[in-house]
Amino acid sequence: MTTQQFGARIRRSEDPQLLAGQAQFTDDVHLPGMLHAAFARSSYAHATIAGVDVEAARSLPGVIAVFTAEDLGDFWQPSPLLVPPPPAEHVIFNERTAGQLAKDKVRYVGEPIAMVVAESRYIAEDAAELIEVEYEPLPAVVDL
Amino acid sequence: MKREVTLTVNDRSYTRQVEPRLLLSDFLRHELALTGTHVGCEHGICGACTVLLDGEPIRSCLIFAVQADGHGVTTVEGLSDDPGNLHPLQQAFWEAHGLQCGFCTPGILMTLLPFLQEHPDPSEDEIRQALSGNLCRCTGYQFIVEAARRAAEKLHAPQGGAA
Repeated sequence: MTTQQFGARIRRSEDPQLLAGQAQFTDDVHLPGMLHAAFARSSYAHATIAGVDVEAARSLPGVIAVFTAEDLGDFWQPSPLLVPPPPAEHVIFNERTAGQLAKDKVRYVGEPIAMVVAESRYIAEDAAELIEVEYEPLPAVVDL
Repeated sequence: MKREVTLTVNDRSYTRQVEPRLLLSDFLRHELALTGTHVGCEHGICGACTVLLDGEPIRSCLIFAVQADGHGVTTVEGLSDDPGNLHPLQQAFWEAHGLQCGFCTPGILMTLLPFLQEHPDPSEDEIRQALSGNLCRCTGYQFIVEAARRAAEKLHAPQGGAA
């Protein structure tokens, strides 16, 4: 009884490209005119956003656009709940999902508040650093 | 603001105008379109960005392109950039299933190249020690170690097998 594929050692067909550095991971993709995004993120676990100043970021050379939740206008909406919880007796489920950019309030350190689109990643991150956010900190639950 | 640098990468000379803050990893990946070198952690821990600088393995995410001015860099493409004609080290990884997603692999190959030249008959412990600065999320390292052993045999086979 001979073995053909079952039990045989098979070499993978994708390996030569991966080994020769020719594979295309997402960041390896270069398209003409490609732009890069960077985000200004919350430094507070829980705070009201009193204001976001993006003017300095917008005027940095090489920056194409800066977006906040306000710029999304009517398009801003909480993200859909993709997997609702199974129904459980006596359990009340409050649906809370995040929006695409923080609107009015931030609820975790790192929550995106503004998105910068620029000609290079370096410029995008420079611009993100120029964005000024006025926070009114709120109490945060960080332990049990 | 920009400075002129001249680097030899994989035996080819390149002269470019770069900002002083441009990382060597970004220079290789974006300026020279050599995207085989990957950037994982961006702070020197994971080893995916490992390249050779004058033959020694370094973290390309931790040095600036201007620091490599006048120096020689070897990347994974310098082993071979032709999937149809792999270097014995790359071939060993293919045969031993030493990669899954392949993201950490170029960094591992570049770490192993000088190591295997200096240690032609390494033990499993020595290989694991040599690769302690290269993180792999996929494989559990077992077949990477086997691939390194297999490569050592290929590179130092009595009938030739030049590194």
